Amino acid sequence: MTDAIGPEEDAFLREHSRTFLLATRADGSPTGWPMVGLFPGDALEFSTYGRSRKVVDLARNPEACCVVAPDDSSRALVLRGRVEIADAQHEPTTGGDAPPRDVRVSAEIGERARARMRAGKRVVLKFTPMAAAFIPGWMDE
Amino acid sequence: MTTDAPRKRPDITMSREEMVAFLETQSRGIVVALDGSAPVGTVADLAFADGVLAVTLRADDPVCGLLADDDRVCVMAEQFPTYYEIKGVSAHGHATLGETADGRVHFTLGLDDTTSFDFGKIPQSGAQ
Repeated sequence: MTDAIGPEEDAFLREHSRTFLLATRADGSPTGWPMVGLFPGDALEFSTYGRSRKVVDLARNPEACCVVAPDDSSRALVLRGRVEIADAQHEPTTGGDAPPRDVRVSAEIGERARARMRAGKRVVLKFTPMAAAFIPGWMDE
Repeated sequence: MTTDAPRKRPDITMSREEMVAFLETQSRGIVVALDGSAPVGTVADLAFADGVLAVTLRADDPVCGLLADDDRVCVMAEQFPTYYEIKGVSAHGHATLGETADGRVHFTLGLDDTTSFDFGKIPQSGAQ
């Protein structure tokens, strides 16, 4: 576990997966994508197509930020760090068989996603947090 | 020997009218600013009226200072009740900061440079 992630952050990341992965475009301007972020313990992992725009953008500039923002929570977690593209790894470390409770997809859709992973069409983005801070979240008054 | 036709991914982007209809339902979103070459995000209040997103940040949010230094910004709204109801819009542009009556920081952003998705447009039989 990185120094940025204490027990409170660790518990939050394991319970919640709704994550906005933030990066920069070719012109240096900010951008981002809503994703499912899985946290097996060291890095936050994202599965995406190897030819996706986010892979191109993060290969160019691996500096990234993640906002883990559950839609039913009064707080969110902002993580700053870097992304590594694990192009030889096609499935998240967890295998995707035990997603967090807030992943709202049917078993059929989950199985299709895992089949695409096994077919090698997807890569894993590993975001290593270097700093973390809780902020008011989606349901904050 | 037969060859399968290349699979064509469905176009799931939203029209401007669809984006407007979606954004009118959203009250929270993610704001992305720059700290040098690195992106930094936060959660902000959103409203959509007169063709623009109106974004309000907490006065003590570090993103306010970042936007004062570099006004390039991305604002994202997203919903995910179920898989086929997932929708999202990202708007990119420049933020002109102002201050609300209660001291919070706000800016507006048009829909001139957007990306969007609507999973409801994915064919539900043999979905991609």
